[in-house]
Amino acid sequence: MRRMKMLIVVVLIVHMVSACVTTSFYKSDKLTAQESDRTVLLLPADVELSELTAGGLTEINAEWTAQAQRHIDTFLKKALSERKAQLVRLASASGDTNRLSKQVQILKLHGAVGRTILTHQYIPEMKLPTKGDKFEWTLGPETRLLREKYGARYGLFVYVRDSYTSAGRAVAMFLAAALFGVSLQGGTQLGFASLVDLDTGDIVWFNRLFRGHGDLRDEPGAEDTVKTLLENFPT
Amino acid sequence: MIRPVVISAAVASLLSLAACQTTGGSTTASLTGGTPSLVDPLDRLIDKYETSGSVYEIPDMKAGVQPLLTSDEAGLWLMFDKFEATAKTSGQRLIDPALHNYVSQLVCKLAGPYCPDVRVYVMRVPEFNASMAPNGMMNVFSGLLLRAHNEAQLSMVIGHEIGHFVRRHSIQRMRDMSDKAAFHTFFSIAMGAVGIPAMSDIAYLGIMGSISAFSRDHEREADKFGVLFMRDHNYDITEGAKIWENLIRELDALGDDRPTRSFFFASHPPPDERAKTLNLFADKLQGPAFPAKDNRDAYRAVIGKHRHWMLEDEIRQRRPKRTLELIKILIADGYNVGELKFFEGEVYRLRNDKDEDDLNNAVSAYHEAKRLGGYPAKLHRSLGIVYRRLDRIDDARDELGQYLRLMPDAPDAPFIRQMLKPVG
Amino acid sequence: MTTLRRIAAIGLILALGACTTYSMVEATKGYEVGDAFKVDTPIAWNKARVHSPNIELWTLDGLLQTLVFVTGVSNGDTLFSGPDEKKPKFDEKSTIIEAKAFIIDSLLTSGVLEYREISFAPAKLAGQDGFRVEFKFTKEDGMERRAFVVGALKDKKLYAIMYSGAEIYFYDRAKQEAESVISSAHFL
Repeated sequence: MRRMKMLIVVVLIVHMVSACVTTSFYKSDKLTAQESDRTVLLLPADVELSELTAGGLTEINAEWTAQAQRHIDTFLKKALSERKAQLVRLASASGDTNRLSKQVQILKLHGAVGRTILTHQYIPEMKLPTKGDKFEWTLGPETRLLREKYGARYGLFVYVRDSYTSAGRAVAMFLAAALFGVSLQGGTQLGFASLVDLDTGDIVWFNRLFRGHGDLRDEPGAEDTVKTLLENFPT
Repeated sequence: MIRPVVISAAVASLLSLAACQTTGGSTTASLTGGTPSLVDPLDRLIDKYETSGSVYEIPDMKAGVQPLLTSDEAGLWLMFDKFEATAKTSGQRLIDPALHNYVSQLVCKLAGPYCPDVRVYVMRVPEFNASMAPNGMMNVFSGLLLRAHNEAQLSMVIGHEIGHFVRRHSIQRMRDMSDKAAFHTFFSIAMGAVGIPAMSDIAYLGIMGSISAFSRDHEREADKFGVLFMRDHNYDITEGAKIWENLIRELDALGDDRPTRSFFFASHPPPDERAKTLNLFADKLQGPAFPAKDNRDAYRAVIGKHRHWMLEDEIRQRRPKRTLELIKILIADGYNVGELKFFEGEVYRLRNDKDEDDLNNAVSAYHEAKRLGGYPAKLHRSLGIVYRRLDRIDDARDELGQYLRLMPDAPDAPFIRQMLKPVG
Repeated sequence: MTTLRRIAAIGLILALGACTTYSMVEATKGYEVGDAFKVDTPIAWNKARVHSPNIELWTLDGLLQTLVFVTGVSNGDTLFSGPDEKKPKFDEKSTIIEAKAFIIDSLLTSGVLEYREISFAPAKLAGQDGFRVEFKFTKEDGMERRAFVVGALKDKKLYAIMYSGAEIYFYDRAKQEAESVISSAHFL
């Protein structure tokens, strides 16, 4: 939970620092288009949809989240099969609760590297000079464990947080804008997706999503979000 | 290692919100109202402990029932399910099987029909606390296990947490907070319109006050569950009062440093009120005919093995006045006093306040530990180091030599040998 | 909650902007670290601007691994400067054992959890007799990390260089280079 909040804070900063970009992506030059093995291990998509109430509190909506999870799943599958990739699923994440197990540790490292990328790759003030303009991030070859266990060449990780404005909040926003010209924050969609070469651990593709619109609650909206998130996904 | 400090300051404000949701607690299900609460009989016993009424608006949760997916309660559960997934592999979680089994079996026993709905995580946090999330995740902090003296005391706190769960306090609180915050937004816009922006802050304070008052009633109600569960299992209810009395003593020991504004005291009834009420319950419910027990031996057999690192964690908090009072309270309880005297010496050695003559205080405490036994071998190292500072070189050599005899292969033995070579 | 988040985010930007942009330390000889050491480094590092007078922090991959120089802690100071009353304070009369305990205790009150010592032995830092301690640890996120610290006492001050990183990949990635920096260290 702390990590999620941290991420939200980081992404908010990204947003504030880099004005108002929607998505931007990085592709490693290590990714060879000719790679014949296109099996992709889909790590459990971390999705959460919440409602902004009039007072500005966010409440997670379980029904929306369940819908979104289903939609994202469907459209990820569709998008990846259009790119001729084969999907493999990770055994239920809740199964492995041993903190020290390799699989748990690799997933934790992936989270840490993802946050590091959001910080140092997307915030100009936080750029690491030794990295130059290259996109060079890796989890190291221990990811082979996942490759062997699941028979997949790549791992895809998707993270989305989406919030919507409730009726009460919408009225407050309207009033604030009309009376004082101040804008209260409405709903936002933020997230990232990363593709890891499980043989080397290299992050071969990384895309960030941040925008003030988008809707995962219905099918067209979800398809659009997945499309945006996988924009520039290597073919 | 630097930046995290800065970040953690910023994140801390977010965390405090998560924390306040954790302390409230509870759950579930289809709202088939009308069933009387489990605590009604207790209310008849002591009407003085009355609550503000709103606490009873939501029916108890039913064992084994999950909230409907379309409800706001399901959203709350989902959030804590995710939190729980993180907690399972969190760095703070203690995975010692004996400790975990002991605590979770006690929880199961107290929770009765709710046992399958509650999952316990013992967390290594050196503070007096436990928390209950609406989805059935219970956190028990190591600082609580250090402070409870017996099973009866721990049962009071655990029963209290189960009460949050059964009475679904989290969802009540969340609904209440959403409404109040919504009101505040409109209120501040309206106030802005008539040009009194400062007013909105006052409104905000008022709302915060009523939110914490509201949850204080929850805490009172949860306390009744603690009493109820203790009575059902024949635990001595006066022990439940003692854990609060002891906390008061610890906080009073801080003197001027006593926290005046803390979340804990804003949202909880004052500890003295709780102690008083619990003693009242004990008077009504317990008598010569009621054979109350505290199961101190079972408790010590499990927690005693872990007390060493729990005390180390406590000392690391650098609040010597409070820690000394805690040690004094534990000494009065009488379990392995030699170990406690060693740690008393450690507090003095690390504080090293010349006005308080701490080095000599440390020497006396270490000597008392030596007389009583049950202290760790590193006592000789600590005492040797203190003697060096007091320029009692021969005494220092004796103690350090004794340490080496007992622990010849200790990682720091080479350093001790080096210290022993040239005098001083 | 959103309002608080926003405040926190703004606070964080200010904090970050104020104290931690990164500059390059080229592969070089005789680089001066604070007023304490002169070191040689075989590779280039990113140096973070930190708000702590007796600390210098280098990294290759953000906080996935760090090389931290402690350039002299005086009597009564905390390891990482800051207003926290609860942090251990250094005592100039410390023995090496106490100095090591001071460092470890400082880490344990700054988010380090599950400290597991691998080794603790006499070692030299910049020619001065001191200690080297190696350990594993985690933080709240539960990710495994490894670290070592080489420290020594000189003129009543504590000096140290610590290297740490995620146990998977990142610790090993720059360990050799960190060792080489440490063994080249001289007091100024």
